Amino acid sequence: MLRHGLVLSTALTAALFAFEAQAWSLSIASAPRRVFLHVGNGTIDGNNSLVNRVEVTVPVNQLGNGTPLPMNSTSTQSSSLYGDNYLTCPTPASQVMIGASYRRNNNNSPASARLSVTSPANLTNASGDSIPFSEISWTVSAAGSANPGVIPAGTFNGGTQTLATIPANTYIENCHSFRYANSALRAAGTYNGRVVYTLSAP
Amino acid sequence: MIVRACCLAACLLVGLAPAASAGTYRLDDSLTHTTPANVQMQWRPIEPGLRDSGMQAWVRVNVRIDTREWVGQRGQVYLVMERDDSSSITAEWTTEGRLLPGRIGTGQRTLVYSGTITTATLEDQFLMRLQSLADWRSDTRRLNFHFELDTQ
Amino acid sequence: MKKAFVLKSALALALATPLIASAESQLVTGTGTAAGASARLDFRIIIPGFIALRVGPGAVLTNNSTVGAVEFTVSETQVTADGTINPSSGAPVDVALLSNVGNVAFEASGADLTAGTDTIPLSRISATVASGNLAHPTFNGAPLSVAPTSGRIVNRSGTWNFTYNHQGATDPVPAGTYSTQVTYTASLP
Repeated sequence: MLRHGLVLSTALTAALFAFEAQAWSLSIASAPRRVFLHVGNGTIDGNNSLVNRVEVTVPVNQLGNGTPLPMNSTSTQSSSLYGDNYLTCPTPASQVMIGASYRRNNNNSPASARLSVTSPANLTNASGDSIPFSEISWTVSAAGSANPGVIPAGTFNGGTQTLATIPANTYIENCHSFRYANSALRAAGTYNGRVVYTLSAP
Repeated sequence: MIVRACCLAACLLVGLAPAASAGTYRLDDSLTHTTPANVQMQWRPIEPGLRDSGMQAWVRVNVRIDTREWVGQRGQVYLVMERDDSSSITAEWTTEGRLLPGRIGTGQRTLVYSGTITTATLEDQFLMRLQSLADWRSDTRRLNFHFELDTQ
Repeated sequence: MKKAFVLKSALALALATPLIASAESQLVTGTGTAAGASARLDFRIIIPGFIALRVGPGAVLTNNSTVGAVEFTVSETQVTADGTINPSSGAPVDVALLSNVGNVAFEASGADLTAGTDTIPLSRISATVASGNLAHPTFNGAPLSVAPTSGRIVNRSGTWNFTYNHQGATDPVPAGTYSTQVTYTASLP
């Protein structure tokens, strides 16, 4: 009797172990915070080293007459990088598309990213002459958008300017058309300058 | 007396082997593992019109279920994703053909096998995609899965 | 096949964490978001060089083919005497020099005044600056170097006046209408 009782106990224990079979699990981490920015030609969620140029040649008979002159760009980015390929900036020769996105998991901060632009004080030529960057301003547009001024119009100030805030998990874009104020007669030459747009989420 | 005791032990053993009764039984899938063991979600491409296009990750699940106890038993095997206290996440997978492809969310289960169990193990490899919104309460979480068998 | 493609894309995204500075589009993930993603845009303004000169009628930045004329009429009482004769018309003369190329070489050239075979030397005509800040170059002399008024911009204007040094007593000339044309030239040195 005792021997059979022992066999019964063993069988019960084996059955109980069968109920406690281990499951399998997976440790997952949320996607890290991400900021993406493009000015002119760009590659969605990627790096693109092509730097576009915005330029104007002032006609001799309009030098310094105070009439603003539109500037043309080398950008060919007419379609949105947003994913729908929408023709946001149909004339890229006069519209530089700027797009920015900030993505984060709900638990991360900050709640938004900041888009800013930094311009030097002047454009300069090989002879040392200069034209203030404040002579260049821009208007904005976005075909088919309910908020074409999502990045507002403005004028460079030779420093750093905050342009817009981008809420988490959103994508903003619009088209920037630049013009030169032509407010004074400038020395002959080719004046160059570079601005840097920055999207940060400190 | 001895003969009756032996029969009683045998009958008790049969009653304690769960396959004999209708119900849901957890299966031994302790040899199931994923590649990689830890997964980093990636941002899904932005979809116009969506507030949050969300995150995703791919993982291979090497499924190995011990079915020795159930050979000869007819039933349905389900994959269960246990609920956690965070936001919802979905898992969608394809298989090599032994088990069924499917899709589940946290706290749900999905059929992966139906019929008579004929082998000591059920093995397959899942290519599983995890998807969620960017609404987790923390930056890391653990997803717990298990397989269970429904018998009639 | 499709699933394999998507998997590779996911892996590519996982590896896409470069922090290349200053691209026209840039993706930054993780802690790098503090520094931010940046993109550059170049600007260029081309200002052509020019020199514009006005002597007499017209506007400095507009071509005008009308040639001004300064006349001196010597009266009967003046004709036999030596003396300075002021213009009877055409003076003072409006002048302007506008350029953006730095120093400008400014010269005036012309032949003697003639009436048939008779001549009066051009040197008998004198010019003075009646107003403004543009000097008159010496007739047929070395070019005058006109300095910029600001940077490399020359923006000078004013009026010139002229006189005729008649020598009716010491060097009389036959009666007649003596004339010449003076050409003013502004150029790069």
